[in-house]
Amino acid sequence: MSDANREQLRELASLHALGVLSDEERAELAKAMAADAELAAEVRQLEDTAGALGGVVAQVDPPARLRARVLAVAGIEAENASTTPAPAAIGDRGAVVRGADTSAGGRGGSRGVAGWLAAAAALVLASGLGLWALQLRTSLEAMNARVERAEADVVRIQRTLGEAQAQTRVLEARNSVLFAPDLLRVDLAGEGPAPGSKARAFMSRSSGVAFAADQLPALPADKVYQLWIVPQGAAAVSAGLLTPDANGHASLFFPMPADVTAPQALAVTVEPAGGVPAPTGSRVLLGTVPVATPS
Amino acid sequence: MMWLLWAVVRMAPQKDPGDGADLEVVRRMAEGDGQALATLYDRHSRVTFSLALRILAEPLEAEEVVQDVFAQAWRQASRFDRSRGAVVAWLLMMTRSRAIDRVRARRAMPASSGDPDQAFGLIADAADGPERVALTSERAARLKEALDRLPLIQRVPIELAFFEGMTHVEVSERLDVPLGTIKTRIRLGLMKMKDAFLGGAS
Repeated sequence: MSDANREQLRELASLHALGVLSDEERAELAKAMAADAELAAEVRQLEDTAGALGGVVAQVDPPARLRARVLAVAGIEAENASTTPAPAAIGDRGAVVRGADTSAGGRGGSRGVAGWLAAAAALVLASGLGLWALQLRTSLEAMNARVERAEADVVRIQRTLGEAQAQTRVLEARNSVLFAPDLLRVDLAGEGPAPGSKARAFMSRSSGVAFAADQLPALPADKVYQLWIVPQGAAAVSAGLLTPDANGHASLFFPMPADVTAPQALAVTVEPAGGVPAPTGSRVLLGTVPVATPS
Repeated sequence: MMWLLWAVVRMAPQKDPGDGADLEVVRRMAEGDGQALATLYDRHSRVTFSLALRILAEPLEAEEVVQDVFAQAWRQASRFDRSRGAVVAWLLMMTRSRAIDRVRARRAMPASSGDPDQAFGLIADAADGPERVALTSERAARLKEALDRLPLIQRVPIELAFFEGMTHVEVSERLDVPLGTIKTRIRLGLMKMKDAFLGGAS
């Protein structure tokens, strides 16, 4: 038997002792007990405990008339049986009751009624207070849980917002390229293994480069397209990797590398997955940067 | 508040005459001895009435329950099985069942499942075991103390189940606490009470 299962049965045992199990649950417990002497012993102890629980409530004397009604069941006259008043018949207990009722302010003559009235009122009040305190506590727990959930929501929303803001910044930057005063347009033509490919870039020294390519052929998993900026009289600088979608379309936006002062050309090559520091593979796109015209 | 309760009602120092005496009384009842019923009533009417009143909070209804319980005890005395526990526990469980049924009817809740005659000690029959634990005033006092010491989050579910007759599902809904949590709290609380109840002379 698994521990979890066993724990469930022990919970059932407690609920059974309190008398709240359904017939079905009770049958399940009885079945388990037949195979588990330890469980059976515990159920018996819990039953005895809960059974005694009924006896620890505030003690109140029943009204005298009840005795006659009960004894009538057995067909005996109350007069016959009650040669002594009920409380006296239980000896010491009667004395305790009387003392208790007196301390509650009951007067001798009316102690029966006044006593249990006071006790009942006190009980209702006490159990009401207990329940009230618990309900306060449970609603506090529920509120705490709600606050925790709300906090988690806030964190999630902030993260989403942050992502959206980052995206917006990219879009804004890309747009700003198009309105930059030093805007240059570079058209790239396909060559080598990708004659049908073409691409276009808008570049601005101040606002960055927006690049878009079309009809790039799909590559094996261990290859990538890498975009390069070729400065005048210097080695090509990587501008990033292109990831074409199913239609062979890929786009990239990046700031102009600071060490590139005079870009002469843009090129795309096929490189090993992950990219390389300097171009090694076959070139698929090439376009030269037009000489800036003073505006 | 609590000191007032204690002053008003004190713990019931009942049952010290011993369950053996009760068994003898029940045996005589089974033989049709009406005087034995009077004896049983005198010994245990207070504790049964108190429980019925605690559950129903309505003295007239509590009286009816006590009357029904002793009538049932009279009819079923011959079927009382001592292996199921103490006589007073038998009376208390019948009292609880009948009172709870009235509470549930009053609140238009479905009746508690099972025949009250069957609910008591039903499962104990499934296996042989040691003698039932006698209900002494010392044990009752320890039980009461343990109940008072329970944290409210354990005590209230137990009281709602036992005294209000709510099922664990209803307790869970009433307190807006998950069912699994309620079951665990009831279990933890009842185990503490059991340990207190059995503690010492087990």
